[in-house]
Amino acid sequence: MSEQLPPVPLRLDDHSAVKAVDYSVHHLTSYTYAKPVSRNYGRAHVEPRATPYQRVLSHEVSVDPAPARLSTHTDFYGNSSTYLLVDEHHDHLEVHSRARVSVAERRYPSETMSRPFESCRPENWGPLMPAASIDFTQPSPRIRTGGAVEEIASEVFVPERPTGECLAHLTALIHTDFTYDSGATTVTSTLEEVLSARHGVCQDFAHVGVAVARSAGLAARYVSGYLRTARSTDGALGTQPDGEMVGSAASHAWLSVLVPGTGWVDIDPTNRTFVDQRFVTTAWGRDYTDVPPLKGIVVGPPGATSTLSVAVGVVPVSTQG
Amino acid sequence: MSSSTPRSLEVELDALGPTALRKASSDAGAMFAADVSGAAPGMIDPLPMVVTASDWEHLAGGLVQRARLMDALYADLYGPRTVFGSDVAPTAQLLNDPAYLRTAVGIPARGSHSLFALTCTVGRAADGEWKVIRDEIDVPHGAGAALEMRRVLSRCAPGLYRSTELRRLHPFFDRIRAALDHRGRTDGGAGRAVVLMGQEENPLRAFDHHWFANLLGAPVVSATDLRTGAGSLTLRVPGVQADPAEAVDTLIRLAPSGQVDPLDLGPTPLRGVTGLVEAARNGDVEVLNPLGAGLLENPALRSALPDLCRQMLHEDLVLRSASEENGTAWSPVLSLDPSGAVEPVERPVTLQLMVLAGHDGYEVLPGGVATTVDDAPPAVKDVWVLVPESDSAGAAAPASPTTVSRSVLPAYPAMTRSIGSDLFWFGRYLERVDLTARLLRTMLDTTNDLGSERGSSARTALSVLLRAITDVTTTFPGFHRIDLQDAEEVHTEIASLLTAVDRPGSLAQSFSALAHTTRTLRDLVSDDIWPVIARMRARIRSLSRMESQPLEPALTDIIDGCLTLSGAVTDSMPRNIGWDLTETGRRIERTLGLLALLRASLGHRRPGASEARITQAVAVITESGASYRRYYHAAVQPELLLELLLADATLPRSLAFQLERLGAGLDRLPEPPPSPELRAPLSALRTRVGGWTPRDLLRPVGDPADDAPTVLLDEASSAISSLRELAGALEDVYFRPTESTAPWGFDDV
Repeated sequence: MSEQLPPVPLRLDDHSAVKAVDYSVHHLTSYTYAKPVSRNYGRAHVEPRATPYQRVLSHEVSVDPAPARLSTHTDFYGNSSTYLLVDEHHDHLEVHSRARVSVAERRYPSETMSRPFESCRPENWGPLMPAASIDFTQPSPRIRTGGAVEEIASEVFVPERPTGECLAHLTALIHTDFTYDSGATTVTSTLEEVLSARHGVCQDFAHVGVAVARSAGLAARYVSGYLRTARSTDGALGTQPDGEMVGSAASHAWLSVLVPGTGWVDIDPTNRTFVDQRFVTTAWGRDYTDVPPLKGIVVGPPGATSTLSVAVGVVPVSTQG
Repeated sequence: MSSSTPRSLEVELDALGPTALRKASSDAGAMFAADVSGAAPGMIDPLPMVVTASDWEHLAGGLVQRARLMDALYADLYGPRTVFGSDVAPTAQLLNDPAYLRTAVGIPARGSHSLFALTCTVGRAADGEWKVIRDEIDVPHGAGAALEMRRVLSRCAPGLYRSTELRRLHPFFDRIRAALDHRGRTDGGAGRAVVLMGQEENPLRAFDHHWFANLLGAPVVSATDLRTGAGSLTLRVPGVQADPAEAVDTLIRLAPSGQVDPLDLGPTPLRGVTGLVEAARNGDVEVLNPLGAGLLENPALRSALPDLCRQMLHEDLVLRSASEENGTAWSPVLSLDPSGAVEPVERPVTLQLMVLAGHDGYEVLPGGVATTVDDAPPAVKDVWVLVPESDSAGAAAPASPTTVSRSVLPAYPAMTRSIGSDLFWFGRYLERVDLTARLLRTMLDTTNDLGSERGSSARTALSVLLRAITDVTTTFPGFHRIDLQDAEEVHTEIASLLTAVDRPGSLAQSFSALAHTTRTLRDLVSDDIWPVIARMRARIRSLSRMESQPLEPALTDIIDGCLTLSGAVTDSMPRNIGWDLTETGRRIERTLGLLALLRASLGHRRPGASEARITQAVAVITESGASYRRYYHAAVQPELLLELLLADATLPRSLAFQLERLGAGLDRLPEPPPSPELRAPLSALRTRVGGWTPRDLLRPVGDPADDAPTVLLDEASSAISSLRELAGALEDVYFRPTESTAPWGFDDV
């Protein structure tokens, strides 16, 4: 059982110097159509966002063929949301997101992480917490609590247990009890299906984690982003996981839990780790439906089929560059 | 009597007496049902709900304040969201409301306010305080129902409406329309507004929306008529590309927020206008009411309004919210006794009122619909707002409505795709209903005639006619599969053809499809067609009780209805593309029917005696008997009748006549770049028909025995195929998008 596994490492603040890592991020999504299509509308959440641990040095979305409209606004959750319209006949669609980000190491104060997890519930938030954070404690389109979720919650969130321990346990438990489905390319499965089949992809695991944390009365959000793809610095775009981490070379997802006094603490059940400098954050929301990386509506001849390919490169670059 | 009833009304009510009031009630109910194509939501009670001028001033003031507060809340909840930081906001409930459309946050308003219209249902508590029972803000409604109630009652009980001076409703909309136009012109727009209808199945709600659109002077469109582009929202018109110069500036949204943009508001079901949210965000178009306004209907928010009003408007809330269930005893008003007793009784009512954005802030429509809320079956009433006595000379009427100079009125395309399609199908179903009724009537006549004869020629003729009905209405296998000597089976099939509303080709189904197409045509065809359609519907319903009555009069009434509709269309429709589409639909359907009838009746050789009977029936169905006799002074013969039906271009049911009209109609339609798929079938048809001679057509193919097929059989089939091809191509080119819409990436990792 998960209790016997080695502990999930959590970096606590030891006041040592922290050096940021700069990344060059390139996310390419391309569709090829069997027959030319006439119009394509898209909505993307692919630009990295600013977080307490991440600075965005530059970012740009480009589309081929040339879009009739390409516009970006900041959405309800502060994410960058991009709209694109290709208004001419085309047989392929490429959406590139390129960014430079600087990711600092995350250190969490040991004092707050060792408080009982109950201190993270809204009634203990105190007056200065934004009231809208309550958003992340409630059910959302893909997240329902109860049933199997509650069982996991009662196993993980034992009364009075320190928050850090609970989160480490939750991360390990999902990693151990759920099988990663490397063949699956969609997250159409509902939370209930994932819970009963006990397998899924990173998005599913993030949803399970969010549901369990909310079931324990905590605020938890779904986070979308990327993983570092390779140690090399040659800038090549990865299409295969590099073997180091599950979920690289594609968009990745994990979850984040609100710990008053510490802030949002991110955990990645897929890789059984607290989120660290290997992660680049693009967007967050209540669940996947708030921040799908790229979705759209294509107008074309009936039955036009398409082929999808996704490639992601997250490559460390020299800070001097 | 209640204290608010004006003396003049009391006098008039006494003068009328209970019998006249009951009659006015049932007359108004019938008129309402005919106009709306659906029953009124209760008995129409001619005794009005009277609101005195001073009561109205207070109530309307409270509703205007409520509208201002809701507007401020919308602006905040879909903007900076500062209200979440306050102690009095039900933050958790708002965030948990599916009506909170987070993707619609940050869309700018084009004026000083965001909300355009609200519907509030109010009641007066025993202590005299007005309370708001229900707010409908995502899709407001009620103006059309209010005007209809006023219309039918002022016609059915005119004395009541002459007795007392009350606020009129139409001038109100003149002001709203002017304000809307002004709003649409900010940012350099042309002020072009359209009304987006949803898939409204409730006939009263659909009627209400259409009338509301009409009052606002904005054409009704459906989602498939609109297309977002690089910087504008444009209307899709039949056949041709939309002109970006004719962009829509204001979209009055009467479809639920969640269904208007499959990209940003949810892909299931996939409908709406893709990219509408982004178009609104970029200011290409203003959507009214703004997207996600349904959040303002949140019950917790309604309870928190007193505190929020203080906080946001620094005012005390005038009208408290009441919940629908809490059983408040609403004050009663004088009403007809629901049990039918002579003396009027007092019944509690609630009022449905509408608040709209005018030029100088919100205004309340001075009238509405009151509904009784006791245990008896509901009754609905007109709401009368009295003119203050001090200025009953007409000072309450506003200054002359703002007029816009004619040269700057926005031009609308004559037709959108969905309406064009409805007109085309209106034409087709009108002909289909007409022909089906004529076929059945002639068959019944023939049965009666032949009933006394036991000869084989009579039997053969009847069999051919019955199978012709199956062929023409394409209700296979129909009479081909049953024993025509079995009276019971024949009877059952006839009953099904008359009344089976789920069976394509039956009279009931064709009529129901005809009525369906008219729902979007409210402002395009004469208002006089609604009572006709209502009568036809009632007649078709009565057919299901056919045991108890002769069928011929009923079928004659249906044919009568078709003639009236045809006349109404011919005499009132503008001769634009809409007319051409209707006409094209009618000609195609009539040609199909004629060819199918000729094929079924003359496509095989018959013994002379039965052939004469069949030919006679065809002459009756095609209304060509009189012409025939004028020309030939002889008994009806197949060859001569065929000559007439094929070639006589003066005969409105002949093939020549149809093809001439069809060609002319097609020539007038705006044609998109070369469409051989339209021209080819028509010229193929013309060439084929041009080569026909009656003698050749009636020649047997091969062995000239009885029942041998004639040349006509294959020729007519080929002509029918060409015609179907033409009809399909026409739909493809003019209405049906030849492309499909598919979501992608919604669930991709």
